[in-house]
Amino acid sequence: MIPTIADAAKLIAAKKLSPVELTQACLNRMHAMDDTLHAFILPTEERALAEAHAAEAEIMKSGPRGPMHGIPIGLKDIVDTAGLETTCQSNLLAGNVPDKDAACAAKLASAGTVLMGKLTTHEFADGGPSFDLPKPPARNPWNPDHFTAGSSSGTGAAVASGMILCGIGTDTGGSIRGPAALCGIAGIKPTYGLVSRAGVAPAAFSLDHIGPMAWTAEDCAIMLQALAGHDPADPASANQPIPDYTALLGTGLKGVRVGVIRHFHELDSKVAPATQAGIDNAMATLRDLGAIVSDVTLSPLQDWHACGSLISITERAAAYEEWARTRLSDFGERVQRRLMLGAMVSGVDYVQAVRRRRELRAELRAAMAGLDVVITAGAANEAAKIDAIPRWDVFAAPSFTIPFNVTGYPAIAVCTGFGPLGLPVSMQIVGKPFQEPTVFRVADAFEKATDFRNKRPAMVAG
Amino acid sequence: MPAKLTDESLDYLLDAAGLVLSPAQKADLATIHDALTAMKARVRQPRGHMAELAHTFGYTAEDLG
Repeated sequence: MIPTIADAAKLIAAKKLSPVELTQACLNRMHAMDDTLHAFILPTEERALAEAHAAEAEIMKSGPRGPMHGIPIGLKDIVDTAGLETTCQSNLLAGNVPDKDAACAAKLASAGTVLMGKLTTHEFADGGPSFDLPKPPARNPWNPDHFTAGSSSGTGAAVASGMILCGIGTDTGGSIRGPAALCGIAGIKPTYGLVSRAGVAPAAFSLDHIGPMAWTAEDCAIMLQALAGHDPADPASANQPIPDYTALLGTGLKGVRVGVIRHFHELDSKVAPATQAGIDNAMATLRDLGAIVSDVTLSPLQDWHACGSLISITERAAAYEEWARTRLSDFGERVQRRLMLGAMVSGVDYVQAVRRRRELRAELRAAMAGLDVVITAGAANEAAKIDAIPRWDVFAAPSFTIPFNVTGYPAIAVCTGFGPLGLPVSMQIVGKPFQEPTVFRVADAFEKATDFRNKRPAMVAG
Repeated sequence: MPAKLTDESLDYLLDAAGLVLSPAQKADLATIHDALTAMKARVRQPRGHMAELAHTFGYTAEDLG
């Protein structure tokens, strides 16, 4: 049985579970499965055991610093770690050893977490799955022939398989919520600016978010508590009061107003029957719990996708322009293709996209005026085979996740069941800016009213 | 971006961006011209010249301090 962070923290505080035992169990799963899953780019086993022993000694002496003390975690390998190679899964950064932790890594360390290693990512958080990068792509624990989604692919695989209890993901167009959806875990893209991006390689500056990925929404809330806060080192950092992210858990959903953006997943980009059934059943569950569910209409999903994609293409091309000009062939093929797109988008195109962004944000703000959260699909279907991802995936189908990068609103992906292939399906729950406690309230109530959190991938159980 | 992408116009865009691509990469890139053009059309709404960008900002207390 793999504990949640919430359960492990209680046991650790009661001195009924040692961080060393917990870490060793995660290491055992890593030894058993990571040759297949490739979730880790750089395991840090010795460091993990040393940190676990240090946590145990401190807890025995003076009690835990908080619920993250002694919890095994992983960091996506675009997150800088002092003294540990950070490659962004790219040949361009082979041998790159930062001298300073990224802000999110430092916060987790000061919370007393145990670092199990650096996690697989698509190259510079873009493009994958790729087979021409320094390390192989992560694979889905529910079926290793299938994709994890990305770009926080290793975090999704490592959490779902219990190699870590939680990990850092980053999300520019869905890179937390996509892997959370396809790996059957929970992953939240917090409000833009809530978690510092300092020390994390950019994908597209105005769309980039850092956030938690864990087995449950409650665990995401606990992890976010350790991550959130103003940081002058991040120019987009928000200076907002930090609430208790677990405060509304267990308070029920009576009177909570839920809007369903039905046309996104039923009309604009029709999802698979299992995904649709998952959302329909989830709405019935939320109603049973006392929520008031209504439909919401926004601009077509394709408009949101176009807006976010044009901004993403351009900002990425700007961030990596120098290397694109001088070392394009050192990138993997998929990222080369993404960077080539930058040549095709003019400055005027970009500004028109940013003007559209203002309109779309205003539209969502107005639509949510009488609502607490809105809901749509987390992904269109179960995970596809890892070798079946289109070359130009940005043009293949509109993204269900990018609308909330465009707006910066907090959005969590949670598991709503399993499809005919036995792989997870999901939905997103989206809140108003800085209203993460409400997002967690709805997600946690849903998870606890259903039994999807009781099932792990067969390879874990086996 | 031109409505019709010729070899010459693609070369111009790549040259302006400072990118050096192989013939195969150029051919690959040309295949998405229509899809990218459709995306660009979607962000062009009737909005008039007064419509602001999302990036327009106000000064914060830190700026003024």
